[in-house]
Amino acid sequence: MTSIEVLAEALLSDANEKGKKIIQDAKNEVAKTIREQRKKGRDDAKERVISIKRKAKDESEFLNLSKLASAEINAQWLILEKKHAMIGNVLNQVKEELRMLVKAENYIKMLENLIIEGCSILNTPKLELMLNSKDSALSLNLGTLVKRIGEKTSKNIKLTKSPINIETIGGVKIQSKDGKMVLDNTIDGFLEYNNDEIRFKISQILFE
Amino acid sequence: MSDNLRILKKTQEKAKRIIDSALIKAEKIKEGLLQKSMEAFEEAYHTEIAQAEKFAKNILKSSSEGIELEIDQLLMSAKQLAIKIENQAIINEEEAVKHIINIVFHRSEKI
Repeated sequence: MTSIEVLAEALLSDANEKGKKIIQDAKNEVAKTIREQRKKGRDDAKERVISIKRKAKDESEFLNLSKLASAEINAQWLILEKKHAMIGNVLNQVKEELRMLVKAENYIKMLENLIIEGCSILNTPKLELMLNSKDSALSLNLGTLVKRIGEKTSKNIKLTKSPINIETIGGVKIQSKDGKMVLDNTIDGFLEYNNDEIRFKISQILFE
Repeated sequence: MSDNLRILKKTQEKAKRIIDSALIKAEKIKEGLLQKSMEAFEEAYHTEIAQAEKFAKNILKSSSEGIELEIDQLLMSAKQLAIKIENQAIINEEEAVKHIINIVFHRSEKI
């Protein structure tokens, strides 16, 4: 090869190298820019990512607390309902036993005492006794009752039996002759009036 | 012009064409870089957000599963306690009935 040919070859080789470098530099620049933009995208998203995760965590905690609170209330209701049913069961048994007891011999004495108590409280000259159908057929000595009421109140009252029967386990309703005053001294009335205390007492015994 | 000079001149022109061609290719490579940059940014941004949202969804799901288990255990315990209370109460039932009967039946005896 002549020297000029060597020179020419060197020139072309140099140009090729430069050309390759120009193309490679362009590729590198594009790759670098895209990498930077990707990083910028990730960085810009950071704050929102933190916010999304925090919100999910808070929402999760709130939902869980809410569900747990509901479940705890349900659990307590479950136990309360069981206790309520058991107390109700006892009350039913009480009523059943009372229905048997009012057929016993000593019931008349109880009934008389309830009549005397009630009439003493009403303290009205003319009173009427309202009984259930079974008790209406009992041989109550109204005269003796009036005497005992008189001894207690120092007052003379007139006592009659109402022809109308009431629905009750036992006991008596007493009303003034004009119907304006009524006293409920029935067993059912007692149970109803003292319902809260009775249920509380049952609860104390059952669940001690 | 001597032959050498002519050869040299032609070589220089060829070299220049090589460089010019490379420059044109480089420009083509850089073409649309702005658009590509924006796309890269958007893609990276939305990928991060999507991953965060997926993470959030998983947190809610696994947390919910965990609490459901706890709730089931809580209700199971309550049911067992209710049975225990019932069994204990049955033993005391008779005493409770007697006590109330006493209150009702014998209250009038104070008169």
